[in-house]
Amino acid sequence: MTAMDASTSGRRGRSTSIGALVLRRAGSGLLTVWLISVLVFLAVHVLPGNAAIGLLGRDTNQLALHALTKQLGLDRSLPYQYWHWVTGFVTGKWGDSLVSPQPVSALVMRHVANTAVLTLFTMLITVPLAIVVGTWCAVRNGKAFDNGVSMVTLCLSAIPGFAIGVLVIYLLATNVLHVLPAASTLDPTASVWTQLKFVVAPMIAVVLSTVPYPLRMVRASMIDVLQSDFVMMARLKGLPERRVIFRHALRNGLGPMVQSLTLTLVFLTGGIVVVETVFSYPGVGYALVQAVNERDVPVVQTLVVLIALACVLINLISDLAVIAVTPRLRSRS
Amino acid sequence: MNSPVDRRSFLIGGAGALSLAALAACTSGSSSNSAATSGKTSSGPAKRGGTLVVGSLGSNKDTLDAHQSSTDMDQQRCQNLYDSLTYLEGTLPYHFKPALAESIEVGADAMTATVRLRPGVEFHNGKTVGAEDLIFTMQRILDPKNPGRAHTAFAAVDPSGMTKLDARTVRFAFKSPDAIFGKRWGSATTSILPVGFDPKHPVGTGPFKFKSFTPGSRSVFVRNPNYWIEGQPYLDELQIIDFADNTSRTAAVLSGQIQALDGVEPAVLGQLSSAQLETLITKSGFYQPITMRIDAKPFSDVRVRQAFRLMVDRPAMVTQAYSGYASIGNDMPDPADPGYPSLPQRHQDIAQAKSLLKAAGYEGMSVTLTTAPENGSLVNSAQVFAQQAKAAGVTVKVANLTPDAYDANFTNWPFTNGYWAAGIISTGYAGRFLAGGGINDSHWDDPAGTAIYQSLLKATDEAKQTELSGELLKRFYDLGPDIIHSFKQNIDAYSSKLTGFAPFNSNGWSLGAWRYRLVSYK
Repeated sequence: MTAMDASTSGRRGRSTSIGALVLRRAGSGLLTVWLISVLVFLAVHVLPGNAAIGLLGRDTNQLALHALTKQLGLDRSLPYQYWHWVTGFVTGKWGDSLVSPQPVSALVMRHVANTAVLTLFTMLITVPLAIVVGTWCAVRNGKAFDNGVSMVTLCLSAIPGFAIGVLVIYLLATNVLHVLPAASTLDPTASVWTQLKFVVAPMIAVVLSTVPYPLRMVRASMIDVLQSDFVMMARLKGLPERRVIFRHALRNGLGPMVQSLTLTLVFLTGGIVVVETVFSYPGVGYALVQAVNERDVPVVQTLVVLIALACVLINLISDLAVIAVTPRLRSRS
Repeated sequence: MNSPVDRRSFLIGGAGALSLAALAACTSGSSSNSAATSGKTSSGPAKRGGTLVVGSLGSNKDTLDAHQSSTDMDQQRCQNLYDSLTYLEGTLPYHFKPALAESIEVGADAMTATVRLRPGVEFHNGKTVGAEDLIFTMQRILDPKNPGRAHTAFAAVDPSGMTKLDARTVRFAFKSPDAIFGKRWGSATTSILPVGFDPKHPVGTGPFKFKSFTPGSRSVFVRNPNYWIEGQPYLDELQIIDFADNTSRTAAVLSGQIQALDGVEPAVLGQLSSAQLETLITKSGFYQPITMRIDAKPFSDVRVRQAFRLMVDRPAMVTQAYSGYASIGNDMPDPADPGYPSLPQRHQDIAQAKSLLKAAGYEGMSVTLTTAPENGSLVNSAQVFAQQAKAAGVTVKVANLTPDAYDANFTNWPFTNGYWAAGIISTGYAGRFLAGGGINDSHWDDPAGTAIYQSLLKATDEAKQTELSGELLKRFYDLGPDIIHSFKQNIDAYSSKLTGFAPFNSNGWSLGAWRYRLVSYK
């Protein structure tokens, strides 16, 4: 076998094993999503009341309750109701909300779009902020800048999300400055992209409450790397510090960074109920809480499964990204 | 009060004194004038134009189907899109004015009623309101497959006994006497809808026309230029925005994103007063009674019920549980009822309470009061009562449940506090106080009271109805299942740039009971 043959077969071997990894992860991910859908379905049915009772309220009577229960299909067996939902979901026929005169798809997708935009802008700020400030803190480890940032991030992670939200409203919308809308009263008939002013305040609150974790992870991983033998070697070789940090240390610290940022992204994907509530931002967390309160099973199910699918996908991509930036893992696979 | 649902049911049922004679005598012109001026609080002609944005607590359950409307949000939307045969006035005592009806006349035997519609009123699609629309409306409410929320109020109406006498006159036949038929209209759930009504494309006769609607989010309505009250409404556009959270709603009014909000907590009043906002305080008959189930011990003994009523320090309850935003009650509901009797105010009397309990064999008793964090001060008032009961040697344990757990079993708790709307007893009696009534949470079963109620349904004379209502209410004072310690007030806030909001004291609902047709910019 020539050297070239060996290297070709090696590449093919790697791509096959990565393909197998993706398939295996996707398979177990789908199984997880299915289990989640069953558990959530059962959990919603364990709660007292149902959509018909919720809709009719306390002063209902048996005639109205029976009529509505039948109309909503709540008189069918639980396995039938679950099967009805799951076949509809898989074939793209998500049906109508139980409590609201609108299709599940319209209701869900509106909130998904809002959360996606909020998440996108949050990550656009959080990722560079965490990497740049985290790295700089590691470089300036123990100095005034690092201590200052540590104190601020510690404070931010200690303050509950709703308090940060209220503080942002107080400072930027109602009392000190009046530069942002206090509530994200998005017009549901227009695209969120045309109303980005309503995204700014919740985004600031979300960034402030989520950035401490990835920032501190980046700092910790960079401190580790900067104290490692190969960085010392690079410095001893006489490489300029900038080159040491960017060419050697940062690349080696990328793995933990990707993982911590992935966790942040997964956290954001499910919607941040607290911040969404404080700003009345119509995201998925807000929609999910409402749907659970209303026992709107198809909406709860669809939202949960979409969130679970997104988490599985993000984790899969993150694993691949970690493999891509970690030579050790690349060669092992 | 209440879950909006309960308020509504009481409005349907409880609506007070529509004077049939007066209604019949009204001409369309005179009623229009009175309606047009009734809600104005400031002098001078109202300015036309502008958009009003109201923030309310809402959810995906929002509907524009008037006959299914239940929450406050639904009420305010539907009251602005549709009209009923009558509308409730905000002033006391409880009374109605004709809206789409020119007259409602109940037959001498109370077994029929003839409704004559106001001439020349148009739906938003240009169709003139006719007898066929009234018949369609009643059929739609009584449809057994999808009954409207008012179907219990119209239980006496024979669905096959409606006759179109001419283009704008319908005669209704009843299965049983219903002298108060004319008082059952007025709420959004009795809105007159055109034949073939489709809730996806809502068409009514109201002051505003549908533009867009997203449940749980926003409703946008525009001015109806053909509204039957000349000159109204004054606003060009009305937007109602749903909030799930009060903090966000308060911030929105402070930052000027919304111009009005209902149900303000007393705690935030100070913050609002500094922000160019007016407050609107509505006195009402909303009540959060402590209810005793009369079909089980110990409350089956009237001495125990009276002892419990004597344990409450009512002025302290108003101050401690309602921050002073309530008035003292006298163990009878519906203070706006024209028949509300003037009886001695009941005060705290610990010695008498102890003596009654001793006589009944329940000295030093212990009981669990079931409550839930609903309707503002519900839990507060339960806790204040528990404190006050200690003086009589009674231990009251407060079980604070989640709203779901509480509501799921709400007609079965032995000792609980609920929340109910203001109305009149004649239309509210059947649901909450007749044996088997859908919301009879005290399991009240009073044969003498039922006999008075049956006489009331046969009494076509207004004065007789008032007298019998008074007799019914007195039975609650003497024997009733509720400790009605106070009547809660509603607090709303609106931008000081607006005018036209007047307290709706008759039923106590918010924001001038959502009569946005009377609201304008200064």
